[in-house]
Amino acid sequence: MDEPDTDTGERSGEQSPEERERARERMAAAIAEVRYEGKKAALVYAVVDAVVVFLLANVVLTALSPAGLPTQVSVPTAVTEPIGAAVGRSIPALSLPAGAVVGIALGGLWLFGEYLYRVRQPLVEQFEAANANVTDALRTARDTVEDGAETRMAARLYEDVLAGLKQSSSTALVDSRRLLGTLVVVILLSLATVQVAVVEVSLLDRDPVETEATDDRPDEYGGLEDGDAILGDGEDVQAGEENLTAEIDSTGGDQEVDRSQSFPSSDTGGPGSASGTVDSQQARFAGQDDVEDAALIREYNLRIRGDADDGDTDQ
Amino acid sequence: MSSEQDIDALQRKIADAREQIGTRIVGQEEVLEQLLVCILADGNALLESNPGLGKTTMVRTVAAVTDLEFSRIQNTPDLMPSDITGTEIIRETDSGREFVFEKGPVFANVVLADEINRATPKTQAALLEAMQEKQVTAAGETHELPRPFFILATQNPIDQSGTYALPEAQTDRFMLKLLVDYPDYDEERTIVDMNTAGAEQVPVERSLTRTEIRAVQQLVREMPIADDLRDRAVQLVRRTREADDIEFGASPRASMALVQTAKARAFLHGRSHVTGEDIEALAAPVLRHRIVVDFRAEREGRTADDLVASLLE
Repeated sequence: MDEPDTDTGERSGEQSPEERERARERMAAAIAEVRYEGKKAALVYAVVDAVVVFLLANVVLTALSPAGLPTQVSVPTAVTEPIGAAVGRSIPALSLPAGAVVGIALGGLWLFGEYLYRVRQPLVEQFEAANANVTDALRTARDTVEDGAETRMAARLYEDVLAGLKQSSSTALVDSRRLLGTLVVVILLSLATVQVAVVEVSLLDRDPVETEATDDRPDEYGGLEDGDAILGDGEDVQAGEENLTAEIDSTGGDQEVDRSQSFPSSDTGGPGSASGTVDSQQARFAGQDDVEDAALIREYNLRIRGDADDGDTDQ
Repeated sequence: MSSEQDIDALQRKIADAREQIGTRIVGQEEVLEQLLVCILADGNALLESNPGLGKTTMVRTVAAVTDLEFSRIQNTPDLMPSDITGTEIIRETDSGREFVFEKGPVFANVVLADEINRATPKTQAALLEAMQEKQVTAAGETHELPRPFFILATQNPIDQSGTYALPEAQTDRFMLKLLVDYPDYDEERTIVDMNTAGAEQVPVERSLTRTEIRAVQQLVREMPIADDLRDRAVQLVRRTREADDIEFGASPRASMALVQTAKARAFLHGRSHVTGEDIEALAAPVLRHRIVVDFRAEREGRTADDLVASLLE
């Protein structure tokens, strides 16, 4: 070892101030990297936990079906329209199960809250806890860098910590056992979600599946019912708005026909008349878009045929 | 040689010196470590032990392995301040008579002030002032004490008759108070064998120069400490002022001493940063002589060390 030049032990071969400054900058960069790794680990935990919260809320709400909660929640057009505009096609009105919507909301809140909570914890200390070879040293280096210290001992500390960081790993920031346990919970909750959806478990006194278009008709056929009640009130059919022009060329026969007929023609002789106007009309029902019960239609048909048969027999 | 290599070399030399001292001093590892910590932290120590526990040998050995000049002051009630600090004497020279300052025994690198509580308060004050100021003023002239300067003052806890107990304000000037306990059976047997057979004294090699000690003292001051550890040391000292079992707590000087000695211990252990273990290891030596235990706690048999330990929990 060289003999000291002064009483304070300054040596000719010691690091220059520039070298110490570079060491401090390297240390600052390393600490920034440690913090970044800590944020990534926080995000991993937050995402996994948020998925658990989402699934749990969905399963519980689907199973309990609380009376105050609608079964389906319509997605507002304010949401669908921008998405439709983004993808270049119109998205029809959507409705999602209320349990899923609440789950997404809770999961999102959880994700945000847990991530914020975790990144507000000292990330360097978390890294130290996961890597014993830099315990105490890393946060000392962090504080020393923040103080701007460039002493010989600080430079030595930076070198020690940088060497220690080479042997450390950020994967230790994530507790693999905890993560694995959470993933198992996610799988179980996913299975429970499927089970609840298929079996339609309802723990409260409420129909397991309800739709917005309430159908009060019983599933079993109970005889003839009032047609108006089923099909709704009849309305006058409005005229169609689309005008079509058709040209019919006729061929055949000995005599050549040299006439073309356009529809609608200017002849307003009425329907059936060659000169009458043909207004296209579209029949429709303004009532509920109910799907007729096949059994009911069949019953009507059978009754009508039976009446007809009876009439024929009577004659 | 880079700065890091310098620091490594100094840490190796201190480890060598410690090993050398260990060849002559059996056991007492903790006290020996605290003694070296006190030297590296540029402080002074108060050592309490019963007679015959080898404290003089320990200090002499430290001086021997570090090429430090050693002197011993045996304090007695008739000891005058000038007997310690030195005095002006008239000397005959070719040009006539002149006053010359004759340096006292305090002008050494390592001073063992034996049984300091036997000296009168006036003499104690002179010694402690020299210890604090690192200089002596005599006949209007100021004389710098050699550096490094380290005083190890001893107290005998058994014989209290004819003594002048150091007031709290004076004991606060000692960075550490070390307690030397009796050796265990095996250690005592080794001590007997070592000192009653073969050479009169186990030889030791000089492994550290006074210049290197000064360099280490400077490096110890530069030793980085994490903010939370520094805060922990400060909070510990502050809690001594608020604890119910403590009548008088420690001063901010104790906070400084705790941080400084923790840094020295970290250097002694070859580290470049302070750990919580350093703070915990030195809390009792730093605080035990700076706090006054409440009489109720004392009646329950609780000592200052017990209270410091409870504050650390």
